[in-house]
Amino acid sequence: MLHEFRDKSIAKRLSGRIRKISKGMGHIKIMHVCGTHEYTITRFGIRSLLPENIEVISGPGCPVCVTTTREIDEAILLSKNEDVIVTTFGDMLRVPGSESSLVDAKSRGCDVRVVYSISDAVEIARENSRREVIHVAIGFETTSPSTAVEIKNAPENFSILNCHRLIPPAMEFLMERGNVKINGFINPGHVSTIIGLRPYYKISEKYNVPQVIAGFEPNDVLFAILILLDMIKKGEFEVRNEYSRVVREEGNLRAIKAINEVFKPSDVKWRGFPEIPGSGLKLRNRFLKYDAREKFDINLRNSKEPKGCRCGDILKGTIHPRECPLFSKICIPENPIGPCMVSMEGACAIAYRYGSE
Amino acid sequence: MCLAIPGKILEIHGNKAIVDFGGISREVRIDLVDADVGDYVIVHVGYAIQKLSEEEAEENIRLLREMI
Ligand code: SF4
Repeated sequence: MLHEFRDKSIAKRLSGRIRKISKGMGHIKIMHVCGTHEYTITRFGIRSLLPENIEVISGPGCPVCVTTTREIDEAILLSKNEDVIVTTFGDMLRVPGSESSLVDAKSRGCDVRVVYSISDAVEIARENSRREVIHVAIGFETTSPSTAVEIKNAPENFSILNCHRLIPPAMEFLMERGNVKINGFINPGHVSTIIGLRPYYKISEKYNVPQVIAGFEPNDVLFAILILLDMIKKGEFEVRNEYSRVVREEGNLRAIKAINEVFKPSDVKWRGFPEIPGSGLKLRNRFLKYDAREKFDINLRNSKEPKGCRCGDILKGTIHPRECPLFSKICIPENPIGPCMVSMEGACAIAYRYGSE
Repeated sequence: MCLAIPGKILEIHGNKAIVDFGGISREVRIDLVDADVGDYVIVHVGYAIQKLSEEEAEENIRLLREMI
């Protein structure tokens, strides 16, 4: 059934409708905030199907990329402790910290293990009760419910290096203080699966910006762009749901409950951004014993950002990967200078692998 | 990382399910969803995060066809 969302003739017709509606609209910038959307857009050449005045830019939607150098340094420092096993998702391994990466730490003999799920990390803790297992917990609202569920039943020797972040506060920050005028948002389908539509309403109301929650097939994205342009043309600033086969108005209430039981909002810094109010998740007091920053002494000097890397600007939507002077010259997936070239969802890695635009 | 993929539930054992992803099956936690055998679920980092609604998918396609 879902093949309709990949059907080329439908894509062509959508592209035709987009061309027609966008005539005379002036330059329109649409931002998406999800690494998987960037993948779909570049992989299927969506930008080449759009007229010149319609630009789709990527925002801070790759969880690996928005993780700060300091957080990477913290993970590396923790892994140096002999009693510690650090677990992480595969994408994080090669992200450069100030001096080295987790993969370097691993090759120097530190016990760093890649897991597919936080459940695997908790399992490792159960099997190694004499050692401490620290899971580098990255990810947006899509990932934090699984962390919450595991924290509620975790063994004493388990903790997280908490790097969870929330998407709507970052969107609000971009509207309030960003350097780019955004005319519409393609909202992340799987973050929205958890949070539903409500957290976006106030952004549309406050900043007069339309938003469409979209799925991840090429025609989902084209359809979302068409709906956005239609709203822009009519002067409507609503939140619409293109991905209703998965996203419900209220989100996933069980997941929201799990997040709220275990975490409370906090202010955190994102790569390329200053501290964004309410954009982080802090463990509630009764779960603080699972916070690696509370449990261990993490003494770090200042972290150093990778020299010449423009990931911060890419995450804010001010430049495209090709505008970074290091792109494909010095910085390539085999020798990544910044996280956007490491992660499978990083804009630089996607542009390098699939981009002809 | 944000990647989440649909699969079909084959078996349920407590808070775990065996989910088929186009021929490859794997164990998935179902703590966050109310799902039965035969349902399609969207899975992210080992957790099912929502059920896929076939009716809504049809409605999705109907709206898409209406717009073009
Ligand atoms: S191309 Fe490399 S150095 Fe440039 S912004 Fe991307 S990751 Fe950073």
